[in-house]
Amino acid sequence: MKTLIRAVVITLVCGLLLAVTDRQTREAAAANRFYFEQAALRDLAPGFEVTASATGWELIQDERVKGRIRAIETLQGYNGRIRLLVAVAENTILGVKVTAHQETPGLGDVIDDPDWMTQFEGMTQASNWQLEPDGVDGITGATITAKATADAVRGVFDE
Amino acid sequence: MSDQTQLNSTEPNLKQISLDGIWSRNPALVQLLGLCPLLAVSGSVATSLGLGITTLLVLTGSNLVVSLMRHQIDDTTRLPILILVIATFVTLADLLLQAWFFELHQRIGLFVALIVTNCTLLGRAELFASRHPVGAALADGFMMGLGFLMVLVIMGAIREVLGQGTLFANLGQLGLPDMTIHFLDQGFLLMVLPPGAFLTLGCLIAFKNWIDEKE
Repeated sequence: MKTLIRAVVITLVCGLLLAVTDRQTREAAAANRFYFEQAALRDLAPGFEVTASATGWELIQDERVKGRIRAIETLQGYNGRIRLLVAVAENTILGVKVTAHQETPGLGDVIDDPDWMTQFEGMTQASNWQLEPDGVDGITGATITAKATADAVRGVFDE
Repeated sequence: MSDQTQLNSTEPNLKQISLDGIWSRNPALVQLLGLCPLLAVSGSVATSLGLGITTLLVLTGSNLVVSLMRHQIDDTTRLPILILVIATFVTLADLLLQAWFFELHQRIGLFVALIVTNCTLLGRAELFASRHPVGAALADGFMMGLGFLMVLVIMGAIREVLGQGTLFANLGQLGLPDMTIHFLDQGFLLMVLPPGAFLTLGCLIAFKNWIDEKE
């Protein structure tokens, strides 16, 4: 009985400690999440004000809605989901950013590289979305990743 | 309680504890404990340092608390209570990382929760902290944690240089100044993948054994 009571007391103390810490840090953690999300969104569409909307975010300039940012995901990659943020204004891609993926390190993770992603900037629905030679730059050793990403980005126009 | 007198005669001193933790009973190189985080997080110096420091703090904290409570817990409930104490410290570390080092948490968050399953922690709590006074338990936690941290960072450095061609990339996530060194444009892919972690660890263990044998 004594053993049991001690175990229960220790458990309660641990639980209380965690509850208090969670309460104390929750605001800071949420603020961090919001800050990094906002920073990512602003990088994607420089010069615009970003506000959340029902289907993603709206890009506002001179108090008028000029474009949108959508979170897009695809299962056509090499391994698991690829999550993207795509910013569009006047039917032209402003920027693309990968928020999560599990593609092969060293090959498919080229999609993390901003240099590869910038090629989508300025593309429209009418652009050539096929992989090389005239369209999107492929990724050596990760054709599937490149194609999945390009298709997913183009998907922003299908809404 | 009765075993204290018996253990006092062989009470390890600070020198012995330090030597055990860093070299002769190094958790990563000799006891081969905590391999999951060791292999999964050692891809770069930044992640290694982040998880290594977190592990060191959790290990020191859990050793301290377990040692303080060692006369209050008996055999029937000891293991669950040890796990409870460790899990509490790990969850604390997880919450604090989210509040203070959010970017780092995004990269090593999954493995912070896995510190609970790092056998080094349960091992030290069970084998050392629950049988020794607070001072020795604190020293043991710190030194074992330091031994683990050192191996983790050395592996991170080797794999980062060979696998990615950089060193000290992304240290900004730890609140340190950025001091990335670029060696190569492209690294050796194998070193980034899990086999690279096994190869690196194997070489380090062989190196340590070679030094031990020479003496």
